[in-house]
Amino acid sequence: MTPLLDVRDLTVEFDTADGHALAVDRVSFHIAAGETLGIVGESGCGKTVTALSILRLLDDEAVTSPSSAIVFDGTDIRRLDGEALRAVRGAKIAMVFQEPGTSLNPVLTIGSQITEALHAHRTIDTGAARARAIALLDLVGIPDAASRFTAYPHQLSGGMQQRVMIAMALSCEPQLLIADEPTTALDVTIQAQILELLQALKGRLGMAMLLITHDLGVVAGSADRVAVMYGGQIVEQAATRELFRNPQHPYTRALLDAIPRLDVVTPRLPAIAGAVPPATAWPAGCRFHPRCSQVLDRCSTDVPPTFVLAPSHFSRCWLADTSPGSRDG
Amino acid sequence: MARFVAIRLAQAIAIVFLVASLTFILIHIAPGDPTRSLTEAPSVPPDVRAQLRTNFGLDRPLLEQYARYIGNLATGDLGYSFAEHRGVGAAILERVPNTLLLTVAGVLIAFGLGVPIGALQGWRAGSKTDHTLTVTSLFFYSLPVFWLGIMLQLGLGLGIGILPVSGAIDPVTHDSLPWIGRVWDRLAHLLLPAITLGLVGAAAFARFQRSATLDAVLQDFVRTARGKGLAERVILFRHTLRAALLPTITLFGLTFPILLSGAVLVETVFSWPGMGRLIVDSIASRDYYVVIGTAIVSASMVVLGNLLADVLYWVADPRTRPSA
Repeated sequence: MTPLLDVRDLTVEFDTADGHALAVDRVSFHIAAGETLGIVGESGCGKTVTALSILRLLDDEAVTSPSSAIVFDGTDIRRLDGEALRAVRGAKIAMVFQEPGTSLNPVLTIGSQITEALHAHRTIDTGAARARAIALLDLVGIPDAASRFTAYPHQLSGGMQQRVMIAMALSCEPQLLIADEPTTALDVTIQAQILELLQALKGRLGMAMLLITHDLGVVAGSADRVAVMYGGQIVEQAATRELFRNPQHPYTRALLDAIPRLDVVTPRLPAIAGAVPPATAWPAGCRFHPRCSQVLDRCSTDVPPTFVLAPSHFSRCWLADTSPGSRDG
Repeated sequence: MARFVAIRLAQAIAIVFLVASLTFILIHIAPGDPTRSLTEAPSVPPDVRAQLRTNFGLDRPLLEQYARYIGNLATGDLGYSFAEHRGVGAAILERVPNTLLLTVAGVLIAFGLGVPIGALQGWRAGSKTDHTLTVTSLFFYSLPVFWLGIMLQLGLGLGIGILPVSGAIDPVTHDSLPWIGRVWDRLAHLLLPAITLGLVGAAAFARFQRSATLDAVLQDFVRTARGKGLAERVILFRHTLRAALLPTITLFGLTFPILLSGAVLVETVFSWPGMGRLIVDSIASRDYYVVIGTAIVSASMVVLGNLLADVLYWVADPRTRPSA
């Protein structure tokens, strides 16, 4: 079966004040229709750049390598021109952003921000668009949707604003929803509500989802498969269950160890030593090696390839190398 | 809204009182008095001058003069013009429409020209168009307004000879023209001074609008709009420019007094019968109450301009509206 979205060798670079940054380095993943892929990683690992590059929403300074391919439903988005690209944005692939407070236009009513997406992609009269927007607001659980149609974003709470963003994203029934840290800016209780809402809507509308988060807890309950990103690369990719049960990459294990558990008494949660290096200066060899607790000699010099552990379990770590003599190095 | 305007009007009265007091003090500190020009003429005997000073109450203690002036002001009496031999109110009222016409035309040109140019620059930042327009607007911004006026008079007025270079109307033919001709006559006379005033303002607006647009382009909601698949035209006008107009509206309130003071120079260059020339003449002749009266009117116009900016802001940005 051909996947709905097939990202191959996505590489994004840009020049910053600190030098040339390799934000995303040959990232490949795919999402089947109706499937949820979670991308997990710390701040600065390239996950948002990956998400934005799918809809080509990056600034002009960001350069996507010509060898990258972003094939959606048989078409390479990278080759689309203005009009054809617009027909994909919002209609076939929609996006929910991290900060609902700044992602909604403060001077337009939430109703008009939903209907303008409808008008951009469908031939629909004002009354029908309004009715559909109210139905969508109702769908995402906004109480008294009809009277909220004329509300401005600042009159809503953060959780309600994110529901509006979701309603807006769903307005044209996209096949793929990209949710970039949809709950990061929200309170914990609201986070759970929004995630449940996304799950329910996904099931109801049969769309696929790319869920980007720094929180493994978020993907645990929502994603079918998880890709763990570090240093602009996918370091491990597996089915969610497999990843939680049998993590292979030391970075994934460290992330899992950092989740508080009810069944284990830990006086102090383990943290991963150090910080993510800047994209302008990745370490040589494996990019995680300076922070890795299981570092081998070769890790600082040889770049680990992606090892296939099982048909859908990949790890970019020398520990996964089972070839003879591989542990001698 | 009504409450808001009421508070602002109360503030306006306080401001007018302060401006009147301050101008009163300043103009009395300055050497000379309204009778000076008379007394400098050798043929005027000193006792005539003394009589004049007594007649106008200029020999009274300053505090008494001040109290009397403020008392009269409270009843709407702006005092007497020594130079024009009539009430200050009448003298100003005759000039105010001309100044308002010139200032409003200048603001319209400044806004209508500066905002689209700045927005285009911000939208296409870094392009050749942007650089060219930056140099052009900086050029106009750095020009002294009176010099620009004189150059326009020379070029468009005297050089090509299509536009009149002075006055507000043609003093000979105006009254004999049909109404359409009278309108055209006024418009033709207005054009050069308004362009002079407007070009300098447009440069300021363009500089400001450029950076406001640059800021707005980077806003998250512009990315959202693009992610929704909206046309670039919609993203520019509906999302980017509306956000980018907010700081410019504030500038509009701040520019009004600048344009008003620019109008003083432009009116002098173009012999425009507005308040600007009245201000200049009255200061020179120490026509005390005209100086104070024009200061009051200018202050009121500035206050009203800012009030207008606030109301515009209120309309443009729902966040500043009182919650319903």
